[in-house]
Amino acid sequence: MTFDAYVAGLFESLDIDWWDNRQPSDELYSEIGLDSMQAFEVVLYSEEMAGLRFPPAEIPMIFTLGEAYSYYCLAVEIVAAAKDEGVQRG
Amino acid sequence: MRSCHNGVRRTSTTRANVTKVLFCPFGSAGDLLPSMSVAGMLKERGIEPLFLCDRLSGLYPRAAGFTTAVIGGPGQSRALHDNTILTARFQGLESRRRHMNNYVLPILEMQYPAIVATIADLGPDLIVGSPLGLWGALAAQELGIPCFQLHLYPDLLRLLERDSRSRSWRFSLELALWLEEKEQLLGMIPTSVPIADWGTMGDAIAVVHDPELITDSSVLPLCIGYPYTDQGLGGDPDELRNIQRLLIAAHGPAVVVCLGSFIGLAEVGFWNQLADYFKRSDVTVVCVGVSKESRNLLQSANVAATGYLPMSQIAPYADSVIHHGGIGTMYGVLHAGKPAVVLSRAFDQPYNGAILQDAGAGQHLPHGTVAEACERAVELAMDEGAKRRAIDIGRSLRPFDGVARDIAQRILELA
Repeated sequence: MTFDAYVAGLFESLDIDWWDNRQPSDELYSEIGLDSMQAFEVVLYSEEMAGLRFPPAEIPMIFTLGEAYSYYCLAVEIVAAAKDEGVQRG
Repeated sequence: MRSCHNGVRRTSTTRANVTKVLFCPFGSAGDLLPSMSVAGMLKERGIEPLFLCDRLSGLYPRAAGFTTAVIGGPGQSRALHDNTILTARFQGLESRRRHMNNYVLPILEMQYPAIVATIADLGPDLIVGSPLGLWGALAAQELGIPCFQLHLYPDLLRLLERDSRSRSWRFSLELALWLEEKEQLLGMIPTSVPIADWGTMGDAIAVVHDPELITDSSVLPLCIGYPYTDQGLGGDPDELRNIQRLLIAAHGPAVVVCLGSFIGLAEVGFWNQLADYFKRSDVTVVCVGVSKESRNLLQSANVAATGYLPMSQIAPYADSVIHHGGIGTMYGVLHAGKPAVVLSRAFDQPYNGAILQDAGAGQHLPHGTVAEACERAVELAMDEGAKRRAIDIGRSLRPFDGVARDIAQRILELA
């Protein structure tokens, strides 16, 4: 999933109006205006979109859209690696 | 102990060496903490504890470092904003019905085959079920794995007394129908109240309420105590020290207020009324579990607002506590020996508020206003008799680690 597609889906799930030109450096809290409850949802959405069934114990601290997208990409890699091993474990 | 009470016998094998135990809790912190506490005890004994939860509930065992598999589709986190499930109608049963139909049922409808496949992959020697994470007992039944039920809700157990003969009354109809269909597929004798029955289904059951508080004769023999833990769940250590100092330094009454791990995040109006009430008083107030956005607005000379902090580390420094009657918060405060005012909102909270009041550990205000709760909390904070009673009750409760050890032992004996 591209950065733009990821952000569009994330904004839709958070019920935030989508507009173009979102940048990876955009701050989730000060610029986009997420609250602390929505911060959980960014993590859950990223893992869900990657299909991560065994998420890592450490829950990431995410402050920007770029960090959120990077976490999604990491989750995709974990899923792919687990598939290669034949057991989907993150 | 209760055996599989609907007459179906499974062909579970007895294993000499237990290596993996799978926990299937669901809900907020209070629902998860007993499983995590017992899982910690099992880990100390060389057993690998695993968790299977929806993504939102799974954040708790993950934060405590347990291996967690997640289930469920999109939108589970909307429970955080869903005020329709927060109603105390019918002693909290209406909120149960809405939660069961809107959050438990979708997981089963969409994910049940995947859940069974995941559990089969994980290969646990035993499943620890829960009254909301019904997939644990269902999969145990289907896969022939022993199941230990870690039950938290006497309010749900009471449903079993209500309708044992007639099937004309189906609590939480939509989920009940799904469960009835599953019972048919499994070739089981139909249960009478599926929602409640599946929460007790298995080879053994323990209810995590303290026998000291329960008078209900049908529930009391099952009660083993609440295995509370709040270690490993985070909370800013600097913030914790500041709050402890603030409470210790209080010149007047010190009151801690907490609405649990998620109700408080959305209750902006409640916190504002509370801060207004205490403004310009000599009461030191700490509001715990407030969303980041609301904290600065509440702060004043005598009112502090914070995010999550472990109750076991702050309640001991308070004179009294206002809380929502969640099972985890209630036992955390009771063990600290502090009197409490309970403003119950939903689920088992009305039940918990009632047993707390019956025990003499505080007051339950099921329809109370914020101002009434504040007034009572200050009265309790200054009432030496009430404070002594709360200390006595706290001392009479079973110790957390002893309860967790006992449950772990029962699980191992069953496996």
